[in-house]
Amino acid sequence: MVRYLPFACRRKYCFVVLAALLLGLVDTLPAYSQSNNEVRSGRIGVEYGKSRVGRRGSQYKSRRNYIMENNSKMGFWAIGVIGGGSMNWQTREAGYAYDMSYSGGWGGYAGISGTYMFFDWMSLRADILYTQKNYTMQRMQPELKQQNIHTDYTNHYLQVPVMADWTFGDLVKCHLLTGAYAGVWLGGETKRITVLNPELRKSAYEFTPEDNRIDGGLVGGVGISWDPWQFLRLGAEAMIYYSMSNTVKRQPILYDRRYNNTVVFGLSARYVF
Amino acid sequence: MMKDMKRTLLYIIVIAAVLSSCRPKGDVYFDPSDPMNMRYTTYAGQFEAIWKGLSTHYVFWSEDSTNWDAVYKDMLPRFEELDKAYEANGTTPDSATLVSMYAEVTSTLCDHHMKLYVRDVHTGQECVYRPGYEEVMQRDYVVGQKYSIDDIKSAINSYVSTGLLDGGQFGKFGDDENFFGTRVADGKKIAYLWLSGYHLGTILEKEGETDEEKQFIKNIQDWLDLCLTDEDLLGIILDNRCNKGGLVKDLNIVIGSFISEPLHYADLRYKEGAGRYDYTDWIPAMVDTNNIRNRRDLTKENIPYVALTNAFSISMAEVSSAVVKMLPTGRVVGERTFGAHGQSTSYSTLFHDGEFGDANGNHYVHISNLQTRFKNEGVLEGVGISPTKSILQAESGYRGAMEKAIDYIKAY
Repeated sequence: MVRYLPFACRRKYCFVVLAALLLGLVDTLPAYSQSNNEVRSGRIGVEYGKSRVGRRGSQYKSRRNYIMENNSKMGFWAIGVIGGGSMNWQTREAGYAYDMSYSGGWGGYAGISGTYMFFDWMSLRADILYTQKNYTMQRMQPELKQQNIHTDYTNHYLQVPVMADWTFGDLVKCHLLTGAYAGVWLGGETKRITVLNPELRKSAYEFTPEDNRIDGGLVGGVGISWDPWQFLRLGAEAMIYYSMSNTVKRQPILYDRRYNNTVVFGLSARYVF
Repeated sequence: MMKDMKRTLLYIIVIAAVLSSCRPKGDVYFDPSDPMNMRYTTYAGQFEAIWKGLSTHYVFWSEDSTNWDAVYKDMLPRFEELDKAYEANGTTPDSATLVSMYAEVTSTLCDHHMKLYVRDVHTGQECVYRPGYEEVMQRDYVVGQKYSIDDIKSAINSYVSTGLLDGGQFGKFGDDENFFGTRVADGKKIAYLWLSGYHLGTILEKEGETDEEKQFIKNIQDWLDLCLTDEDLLGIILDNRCNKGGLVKDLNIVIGSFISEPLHYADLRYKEGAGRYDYTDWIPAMVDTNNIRNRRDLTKENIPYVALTNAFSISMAEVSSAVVKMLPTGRVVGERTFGAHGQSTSYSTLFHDGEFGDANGNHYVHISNLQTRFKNEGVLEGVGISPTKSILQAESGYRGAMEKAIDYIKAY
């Protein structure tokens, strides 16, 4: 697997590079958080869950006291709603049709999100999302000076991402999200114009025996959040869903690979229990 | 803690990078039209070129139950055996062997326009296989019957000599032949037209040079004049038997002249991508009435229109019969047709479908480049249009369907 590492520097792995840059940026901040400064300075002397002197030691404080005194949310649940816009583009070999091109398409996504905060700096997050993965395919032959085919695909997916949420900052928190997702392709519509039929035609997508309706891949992103009250967390995020499952089932020959790449920009509101 | 967190994050980033690189590219698509793909020197290479060409350019995968990948798996070793035999002792398969092997490859494909030309890579001997034709020849009502142009022409001559028709003339223009005749019944005329192919639109734009060509054009004009202007018209018979098809725009003449509004008779779809199921949407196919100067609404005047068919009514002959069947006063009499409704159009370079190869090269495959889905009956490729009234030639020859058509019109 190590031989694949140089490929990680390609443009499409930019989210990995972004994550690394963010990590470096955070490292330059003067303080990680007030509570941790206090831990470091010995004013509290105990870091909950990772005791330096032992839970039963003389400086032991109850979990509740520690959380209340340090505005920490570790060990807490948060559940909320999330939604926003999605931009998807499809990676596919154009084959010999050099006049055929794929471009991104805007859509939306919405769902519910649950988070369990193991530590102030790390949470486990799982969402259930309806996501549109739309794109456009068009062919244009220069001699015709017009588009032969223009098809807008709208695809509906239900997906469940599970992510580690790495949290930085105090008043306004920064989040780095890394994880994987699984999903299912629910259906779709097409809007087409062809040279033979210049009127826009909308129709439901008919699944074929070669469609792979199971989706899965990696997910990563960045976000910020703000807690206006102890019980409410508002956030904004940008994530990329990098599908590693082909939308076409495996064929023994002439294997046709079509992958979705989806960037979502969303807002969230979570109730912290 | 910060150090631990950074390390953990770095691990995750590396794992993500490695996992995300496990998304290899697909196979490079095979371009059936690329001359490079004709430069094989083995039987296995030839089979692969044809198999891949059909995989990307065949348009009926949605209708076909053939397991095309299994065909590749089963047949490739057998073609490789031919190569081994040639390398070992220079033997080449005879023409019948090659044809039978390609019959196994294509016999279950439903495209009845398919015609496979394969040239032996070593001897240059050409083999031709038509899976649709072979399927039709095995139908129980076809076995033992004659379906040549000469057969239908002699049948028409017998109609005149025995009084089924009162008279008429044959015409010929290029490869197309026709016959226009009439039959008077109850003091009213029945207009009869037989066509061996559909190129009326292009022929009517020309001036005939020979007597045969002028007669061909006159037959069409006289048939239209009678059908459109005769106030005592009893009915129309369009004989599509042994008609090899032609241009679908002739529907505007043989149907569009007799309806008042454009008729949505079918939907068509092409393949917009190289994947087997990369179809365009269904595009409406209409019988146009806009460019027809003189029209007559047969439905309004309640005049019957009968199309005669047999197993060798092919392509446009089937489509025109299917549209006649859709008319309120229309009826199809005869046999179930050939089953070749996908058309070969000039748009094959725009879409990933249709014929491929080189007729002068080692292989050439003629196939449809669109699917036709009839409005009432769906996709009937490989099946054919069923008549409203079945009259088999095996039971009553060419005469039975004609008599039934005249009886139907007289009784209407």
